[in-house]
Amino acid sequence: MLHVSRRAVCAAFLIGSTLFAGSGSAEEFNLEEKVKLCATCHGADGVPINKQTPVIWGQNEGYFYLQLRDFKRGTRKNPLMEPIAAPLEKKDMYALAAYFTKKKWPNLGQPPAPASVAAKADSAVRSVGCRGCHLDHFQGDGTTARLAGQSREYLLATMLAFRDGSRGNNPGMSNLMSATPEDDFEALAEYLAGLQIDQYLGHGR
Amino acid sequence: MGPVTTYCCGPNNRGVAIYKDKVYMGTLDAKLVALDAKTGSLIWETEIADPELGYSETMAPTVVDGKVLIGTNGGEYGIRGFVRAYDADTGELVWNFHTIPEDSVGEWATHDATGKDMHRDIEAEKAALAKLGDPYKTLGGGVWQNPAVDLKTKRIYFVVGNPSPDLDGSIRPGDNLYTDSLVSVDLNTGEYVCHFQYIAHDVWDLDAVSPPILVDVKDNDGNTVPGVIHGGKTGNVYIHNRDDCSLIRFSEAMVDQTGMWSLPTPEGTPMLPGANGGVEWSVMSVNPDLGLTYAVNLHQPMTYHVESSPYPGGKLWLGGAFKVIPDSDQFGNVTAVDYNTGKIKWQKKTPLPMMGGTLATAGGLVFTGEGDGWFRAYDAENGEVLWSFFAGAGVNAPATAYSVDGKEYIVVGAGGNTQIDFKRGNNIIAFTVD
Repeated sequence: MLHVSRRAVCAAFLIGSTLFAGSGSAEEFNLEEKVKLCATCHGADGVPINKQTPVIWGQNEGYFYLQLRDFKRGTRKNPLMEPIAAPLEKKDMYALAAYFTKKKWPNLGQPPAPASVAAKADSAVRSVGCRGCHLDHFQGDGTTARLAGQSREYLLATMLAFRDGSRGNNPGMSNLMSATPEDDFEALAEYLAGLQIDQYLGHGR
Repeated sequence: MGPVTTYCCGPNNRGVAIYKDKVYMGTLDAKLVALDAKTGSLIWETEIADPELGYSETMAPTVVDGKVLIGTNGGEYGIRGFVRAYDADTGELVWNFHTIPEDSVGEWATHDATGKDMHRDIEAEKAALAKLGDPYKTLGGGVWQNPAVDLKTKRIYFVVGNPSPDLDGSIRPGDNLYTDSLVSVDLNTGEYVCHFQYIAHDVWDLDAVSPPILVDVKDNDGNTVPGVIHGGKTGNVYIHNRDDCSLIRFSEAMVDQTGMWSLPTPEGTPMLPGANGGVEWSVMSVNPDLGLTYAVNLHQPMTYHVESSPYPGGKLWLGGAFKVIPDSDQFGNVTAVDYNTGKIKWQKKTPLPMMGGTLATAGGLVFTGEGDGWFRAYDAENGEVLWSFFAGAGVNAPATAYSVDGKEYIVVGAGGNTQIDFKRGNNIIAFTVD
């Protein structure tokens, strides 16, 4: 119940906020206000309000920027994010990306995957070469997303969305998810969500 | 460096160039920078291309005759490739050569350079060409590695990578010139001289990425001629006449080529070599006294999958996927090829697929490293392992040699590898040769 309630509050607040944002085309960008708006769903402490919402604190700067750009362009679909991104200029998106990439990635308290799950996930990872882009600890880099420690539910939904094409802003990812047996996705999500990598990164991200 | 970096296969840098008082480097966000060699301070910087459209730099610049030569990555992102020359003093563009000409159709070649049928559906491609037009604007053709420079003729020789999207040929009809090709242009003007295409209309990403080498070779009449050789991802070494880029011969296959050229399918078609090729970016070297070139190889069974999607505007655009077949046997080779006959002289198997390159010395040694951390010296004539050193991380870069006050050194990086996930490290290790 708490989960549903929080999600409803997040959506209701955003509908009001984005209607307001859309009413003034020459709205001046205010980083502090935008950060507060982001916190409505993505969490004031970096922990998202619901599990389908991604962690954005500590996310890679280039990836963060490209997602805002794609929401604005409409190449990534989301009824809440598209109107939020619509008034943003490139410099605004850069400012938000630069702000959030410096924040410490939150610990969602997701346990490491059991060995059998990790082995299944690792086999899938090696088959399509996930680490080739997302790197050795799934920290990502530049315009490639960090996956380690991301919300398990968000990871699973995203892989499935790439697979069925409903997330259409990266056809390369759609190809790779199409080539991955659907049976592997639960294991991949559990494995990636349970990765704690701050010790490898060494800079608190 | 800016936040937008869209590169393939890991955040790599394949080296810098030093010329007079400056150091030159390409960056992942597609810039070329010149630094003061003594202080490291920035002297000039130029944006080569827009990284949001999939352009990036992982290759090392080559500086010669006052020009900085550099290509671009982005064959996995639907770029239009090029090689450029920039003024070494100012960073101003001197010339640009598009690796994808506006007429990229070619001659509808049905067989590859070794005579294998590529199973093209030429009629379907011609229908697609009539409907879609020439795909040159998003056809890829990145250049991964340094050109070889012939200072006598003032020509450069480089190889051009895969067409975009990698696996889906249905939306890019034609031979896709000059992808998967050896190309020569004039050093001073960038004007086209000659080319030779290994695979027309590649749908396997078995392209041309290992840097070419200039060496005198025997032609088919037994005459010694200026040659240029290249190790293809196909697993063959190609030997060309430098004058017109024509193919003199190709080597025996250094790797298993079972199923070549089976077309990719939605369900996945097994074929060897896998998409990392028989020779990846790894540099070859030569021992001209022995007439041998040394390549490192990969054996990675994969399935090739095709799935069509339209140009995504600078995002990863594979047109399908390559999948390692789980639990399949993977290994590597170090191979010596006689470039005057095309025969394999010797071949040594390694536990892991090989990526990095070789260094051949005048003293009759061949140095190369492995993904498990071993760096070894082989007898250039027979492949016997003469010396080994454990570097602690993947030795996935080629070694180089230098001397100081007459003392010889061998130096190599042990940084691991992202593409095939070998243990990362952060060491440069130098050895003396006594």
